[in-house]
Amino acid sequence: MKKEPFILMTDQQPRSVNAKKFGDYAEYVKAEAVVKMNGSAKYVGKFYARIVWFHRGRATTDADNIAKRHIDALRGVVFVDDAAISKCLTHRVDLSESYVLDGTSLGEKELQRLLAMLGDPARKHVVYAEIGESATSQVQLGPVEE
Amino acid sequence: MGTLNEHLLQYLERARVDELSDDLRSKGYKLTPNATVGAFQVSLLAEKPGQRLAYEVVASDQLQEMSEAIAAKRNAVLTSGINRFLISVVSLPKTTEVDIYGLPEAIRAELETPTLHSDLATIGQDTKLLSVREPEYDSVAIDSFKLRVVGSALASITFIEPGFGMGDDEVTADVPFDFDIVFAYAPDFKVKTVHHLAIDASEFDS
Repeated sequence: MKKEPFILMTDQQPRSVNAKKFGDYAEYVKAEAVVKMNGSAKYVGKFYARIVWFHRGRATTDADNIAKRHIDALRGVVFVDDAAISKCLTHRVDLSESYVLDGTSLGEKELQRLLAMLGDPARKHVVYAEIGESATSQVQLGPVEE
Repeated sequence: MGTLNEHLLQYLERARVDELSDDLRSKGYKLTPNATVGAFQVSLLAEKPGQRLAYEVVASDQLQEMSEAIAAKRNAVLTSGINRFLISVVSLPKTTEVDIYGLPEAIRAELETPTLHSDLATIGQDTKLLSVREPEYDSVAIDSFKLRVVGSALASITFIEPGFGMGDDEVTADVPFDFDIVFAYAPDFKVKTVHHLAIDASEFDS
């Protein structure tokens, strides 16, 4: 039976690995992940990581750095070895612009929570991190639009 | 009757549905705006063989309060033969504050030179222009040599109201006016061409 994806939604500004507060940020993500995992088994075998960083207005951190930061923070809590990540997608979304969110696969409570976080003008940053089993051997080329 | 903000939201949502429709039509989808799916209505239903996509268009400032309703709708329509449920979040236009340095002074100079504009001068006895203030801009067109501004402002004036033996009164008043003016940057920021300048002195008509 396929394991349900692990989903973590946080609202702290992602920090650069070189930033003074990176340690605090990594510890924060790790602590949130521990609570969310609630003692369930860690991912082994091939899995994917999807990291979506929603930000309101200007942001200077590169999208590709965000994935590394979260994978480092989640290692040992959600999965054992990040060498088992076979697919990784990072997406940066400016909330001050229009966007389309595919809400098909998320659970109802989680979809509701994500929409409420995205619609809250007081939250300048929302990071959605999803880790799940990667069952397909399909290799897709071309735009990552679909 | 809706408020202006509601009208703006409806306008933005309609515009977004039109944008989505253009894109989906080019991909071969048959489209139904405001489609009923089960017991719910979705903003746009896009269908082609084997695919039924439901789009819910929502303004960004309504997302928080509608989050529960949207999640519930998603669950319901996915049990009614819909393959994908997509939430199109429309952001409100950004408000931009415009401050044009020197514009009130430049318009004041235009109204006073060589003599006070006749529509102001005839409001009262010994009328003087104190200032031009509170400009509001409908449009601003900028190029390297000039600035064309369409808008409105207030002319603050003072004039003498005869007291007919009881002593004269000095009255201060604001007179609204509309303008469409081209300004030159150099050598000083000043009026270059007046396309339109309409002073509304109707309040002072006797």
